[in-house]
Amino acid sequence: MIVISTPSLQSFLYFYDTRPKNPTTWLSLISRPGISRPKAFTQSFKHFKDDFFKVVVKELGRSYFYINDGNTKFPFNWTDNPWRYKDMKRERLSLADREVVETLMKFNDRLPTKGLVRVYNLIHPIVDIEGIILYF
Amino acid sequence: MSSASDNVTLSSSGSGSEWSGGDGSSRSDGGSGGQTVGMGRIPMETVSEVREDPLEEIAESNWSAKAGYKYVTEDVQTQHSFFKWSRLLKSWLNCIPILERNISRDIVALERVSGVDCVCHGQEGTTEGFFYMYMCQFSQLHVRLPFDDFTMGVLRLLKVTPTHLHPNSWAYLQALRVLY
Repeated sequence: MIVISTPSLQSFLYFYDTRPKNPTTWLSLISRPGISRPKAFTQSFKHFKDDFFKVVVKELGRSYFYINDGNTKFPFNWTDNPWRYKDMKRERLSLADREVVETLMKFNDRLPTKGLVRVYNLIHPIVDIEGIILYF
Repeated sequence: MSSASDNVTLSSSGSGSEWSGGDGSSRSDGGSGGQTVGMGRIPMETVSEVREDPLEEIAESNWSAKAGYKYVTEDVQTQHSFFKWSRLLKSWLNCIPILERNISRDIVALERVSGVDCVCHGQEGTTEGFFYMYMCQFSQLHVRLPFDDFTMGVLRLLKVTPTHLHPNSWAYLQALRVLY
């Protein structure tokens, strides 16, 4: 039983390094070697690159995507300076984050990522994607 | 030039769907039947013709090259969207949920992508804020809009827009999100 009261982003990112180090391309979180962590999603996405579309924020949606000063709550554009990091030190984490990390490390090599994603599938049943492709 | 962004609302009912063209271009230029001239609102069903972008528009992009994006690798910059046609996008969106439950359909408009734009292009010349999303984020990773604070926090911390983070990494986000 996990009891984590406040989301802690550092404790999530602790389990990964970012790749690649240099050019600006799709940024990946890579599981850190030697650290027990959630299993990777067994499906690897390769053919996603041309399936993008635009999400335009309408007036009614502003509060979900913008903070009051007019800035967006997350970047809307590709930036040339994503945060790249490697070997995040546990000492740099807050006490609360460290607890989260330690809790997760106790058991999370048994956490099937794909299974967790499937939880969403149960909540939001979707039409089989292959069926849609057949449609075309 | 018809660079008007064709707009797909989440409504499947048709009536009252709202067009919110970002650039103010005329919807009727090029004449898709002409029945919609001058109307601010048209039912979804009348979107019967959606054309591919003219070839010259695509060629043009090769020279102007959206010069401000040189820092992005070429494989990103040369990847154009499969969803060039509103009708195609709409047929996918009819089957794939985009929004969290109990969220108004009017918070976002989902639009096809013109033949010149790629996923790393920004907001130049647009009046409405937008970002891009990959269909697989919804269809396979079950991401829904609006994002929760955890997701937005990670994007903010990493300084990446949703399409900048590889879908494989989104899987980690989606998986761990349930624990937080």
